[in-house]
Amino acid sequence: MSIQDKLAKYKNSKLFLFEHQIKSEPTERYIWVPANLKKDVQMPFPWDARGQRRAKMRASMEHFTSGGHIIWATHPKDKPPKAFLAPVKPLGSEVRDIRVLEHGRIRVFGRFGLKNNFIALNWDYRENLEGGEFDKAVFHCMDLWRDLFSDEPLFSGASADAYISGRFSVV
Amino acid sequence: MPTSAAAFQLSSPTGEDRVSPSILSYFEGRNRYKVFDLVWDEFRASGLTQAALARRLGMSPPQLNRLLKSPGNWTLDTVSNLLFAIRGGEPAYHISYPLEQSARNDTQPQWLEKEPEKKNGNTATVFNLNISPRTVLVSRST
Repeated sequence: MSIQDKLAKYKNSKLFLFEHQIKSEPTERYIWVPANLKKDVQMPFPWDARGQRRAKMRASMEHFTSGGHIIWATHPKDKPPKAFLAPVKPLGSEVRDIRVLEHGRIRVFGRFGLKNNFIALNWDYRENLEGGEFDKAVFHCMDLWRDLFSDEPLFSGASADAYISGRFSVV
Repeated sequence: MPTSAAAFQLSSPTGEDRVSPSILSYFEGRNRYKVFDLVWDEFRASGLTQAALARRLGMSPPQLNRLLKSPGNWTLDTVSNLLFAIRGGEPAYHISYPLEQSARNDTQPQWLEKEPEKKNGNTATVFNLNISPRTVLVSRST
């Protein structure tokens, strides 16, 4: 069974399509999330600083799904600090993070399952990912992926346009 | 503003109730990304190189490169400078009310939307269609 078949099978059970808070927004790319992540990006958020950061996380995810301009990094080591979507170590793992920058300071980990379909599996505040915690989060992402897609070959491509279409810049 | 967790729907502020800081934060994020897209669309349409734009703005190429990576630290002046330097533009402002616009039904990949529908023993394919246009909060003046 392909990743696409599994996504169709898991829809609304193990995985959910991330939906725009504002229903009139166009959807040009897709993010799939498990139930716990769906809950974490669901309004209403707490009124405190962390609630505000989760609101920024939602806005960033919607920037991706609405077809916004993506700053796409190609390498985990030399990426510019402001890249929006970047691969993480280990190289070749195909794990990437959506980088909620500035006041958000959150990382959302996942892999592409198909072109324009990012499967986000776990996230954390950046300050919780210092030292070895970042790598742990990446490996946790890989474990979650294995639970869902087990032996399916990873989706990979030679360049950014194999992963996303629309507006993006490669850095 | 409604606060129930189940099927939370954003609605416009009414009365004197305080708006949740998280909702303000969400709209701040949206606004930054919309301006970011506007500047990038303008830059790409201009055909300019980053080196040329950097010279027009009196910046070093690395400075401009950093600036164009994220709208996080942009001010109104930054946007004005970028748009004018790219090709003599300035932002034109209007206000949209996205919460009052019609919901779209094209919210999932097309390959998921092909749901077989049994009709008199035959299989038909159902597609959802776009129903409302994209809106932006800021647009380039013409």
